Amino acid sequence: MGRKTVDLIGRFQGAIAATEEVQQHDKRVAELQAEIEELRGVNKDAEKQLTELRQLLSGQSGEQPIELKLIDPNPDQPRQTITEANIQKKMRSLDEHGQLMPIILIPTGDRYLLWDGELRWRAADRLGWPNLRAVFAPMPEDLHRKVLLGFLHQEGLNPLDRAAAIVKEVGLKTSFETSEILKLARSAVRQLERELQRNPQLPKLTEVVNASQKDQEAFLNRVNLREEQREVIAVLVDYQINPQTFTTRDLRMLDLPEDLQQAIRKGLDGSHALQIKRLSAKSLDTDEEGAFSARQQLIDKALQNGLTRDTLKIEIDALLITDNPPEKQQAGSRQLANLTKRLRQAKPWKWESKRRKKYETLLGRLEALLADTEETEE
Amino acid sequence: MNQIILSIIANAGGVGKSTLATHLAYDLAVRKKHSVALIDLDPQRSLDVFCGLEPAEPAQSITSVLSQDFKGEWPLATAWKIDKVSVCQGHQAIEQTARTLVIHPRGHYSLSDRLKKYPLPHEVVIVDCPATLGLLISNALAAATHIIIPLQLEPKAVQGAADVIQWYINQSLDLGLDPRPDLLGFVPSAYEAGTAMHRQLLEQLPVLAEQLNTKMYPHIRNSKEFVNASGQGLPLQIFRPGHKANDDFHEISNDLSRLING
Ligand SMILES: Nc1ncnc2c1ncn2[C@@H]1O[C@H](COP(=O)(O)OP(=O)(O)OP(=O)(O)O)[C@@H](O)[C@H]1O
Ligand SMILES: [Mg+2]
Repeated sequence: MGRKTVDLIGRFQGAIAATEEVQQHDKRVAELQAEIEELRGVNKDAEKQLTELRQLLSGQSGEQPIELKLIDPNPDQPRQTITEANIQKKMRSLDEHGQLMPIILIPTGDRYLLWDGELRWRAADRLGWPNLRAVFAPMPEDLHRKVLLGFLHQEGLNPLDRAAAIVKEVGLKTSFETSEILKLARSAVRQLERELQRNPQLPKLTEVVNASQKDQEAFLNRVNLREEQREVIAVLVDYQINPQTFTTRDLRMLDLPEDLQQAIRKGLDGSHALQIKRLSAKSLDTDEEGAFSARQQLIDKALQNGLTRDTLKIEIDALLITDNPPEKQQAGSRQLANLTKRLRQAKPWKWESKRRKKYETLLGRLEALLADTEETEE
Repeated sequence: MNQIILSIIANAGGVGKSTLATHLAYDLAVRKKHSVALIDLDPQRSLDVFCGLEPAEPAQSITSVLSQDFKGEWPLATAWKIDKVSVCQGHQAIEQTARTLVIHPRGHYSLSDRLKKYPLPHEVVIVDCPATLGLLISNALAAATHIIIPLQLEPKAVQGAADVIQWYINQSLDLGLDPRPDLLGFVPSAYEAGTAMHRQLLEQLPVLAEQLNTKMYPHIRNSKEFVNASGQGLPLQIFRPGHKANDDFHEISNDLSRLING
């Protein structure tokens, strides 16, 4: 007469589940701690930030697979030197044991900034893995600033990414649309230039950029800007970006046609791109396709042989001149013939002095312009 | 030397907590030559019985240790005339103390705080707990480096042990214990080979241990001599030196000894 057995394991189901969960958590914390220890040896400053991140992490357990190509490395990565041997070792470990602990990512719009796990990220990429498991940490206030500052001012950062990052940051801080930001920045810079000319007592923009936050504020209160303009400029100077260079250099990158933007990402110099941009459907008097292939030829050349700025300019000038339609040249020369004739007939000595002065200045300018062009043509 | 603070926790009465505490203390002190302090958190003062001690005044008991003006003078009695075994005796007044601890900001950490601020010199501290989970057992958990769970092979006690596991995990998180005290393992207690229920449950223990990723110690056999020994205020090792059940505690004290010596 067998009595029913007491199901011991059944009674412990809840306890078993809780144990598994907490032990997995323990394992992750232990691994995280090991990594932190490792980082600690490399960079003492990182310690505080990582502690912060670790706290964030243990609080939330959301893990997700993220495509490797959506991940940007952290330019502020404390572990600056990653050797080939490190990568090989990590590749072996990933291959054998799989990914033990999630990498830490900071969401930045539709991409992710890699906060921790660069080695695993690189190794996984080499192994051809499509994605890695990740946990997410919000961007801590000062961390974001620090990372972005490092990013914006790193050597060899392509100007397009720099421009895009700046505009995005201004957008985040002010909630203006991109087009508004461009307009506001440009008008603010014009206004600032006027003010600086009028008032020599004001500090130069290069000084403002490197001043303390308090001094920057003081400056912005002294100059006459609209509130929206002030907001945009404040963000720029806070990130040590000269608003003048931003409008004259960075913003022009964003106006580049798509093919040139891509070329920049492949390594084309920003100023080269601006030169090549002169080859448009309009300036070549052709269709978009024609302009595209003309630009592509020069892009390839520049990327392959590293053309100097001067040779590039000469090639472009040549293209623009020979490709110019004869009618246009004729139209220009007809206008000139007409003008010379009228100038010859004019009697400036009979004019009132103000008008005569203007006439003389214009002649002088015309002379200077011609001298200048003759020089470059030779 | 690593000091081990071992709390014996169960969510059931009469499952052999105090028996385990005292027999382990004896084995560690006599066979393994470690100094041991026993702390009685049970208002029933069960250690007094097992150690043959007269009831202590509140000032000479654990209640004084947990009071706000404790200055580090641990009230310690010697058990069984063995110098290596000290007892911090229990007292009924600890229930009142527990009620005042509830409103104290560090009420759950009182024992832990005392043991940190005024460490006992002993290599092992064994904390014997009352039968029901509450503030006193939370204190035992917060103070512990290790816990051990006696498991009587009866349905009700089994349920209690399962509850203890979940409580231990959640409570450690709630108290922010970092690291969480290690679960040394389960000790099946008062095992009777002649009881079908005991046999059935014992068979399932290895699987359970594996699933919980912990150790299942050899069972402590059931013997009337345990009751007889406690009636004399003695451990079985003194009361019946050659008794087979005395060996049942060896593996636990061997493990503890290893932990102490690092
Ligand atoms: N292995 C055993 N064989 C026989 N009797 C035992 C055994 N272990 C304990 N006992 C007896 O069972 C009773 C309860 O044991 P013990 O006091 O150790 O349990 P406890 O869990 O501490 O109980 P409480 O919850 O009351 O504190 C005691 O009388 C004890 O002598
Ligand atoms: Mg007891």
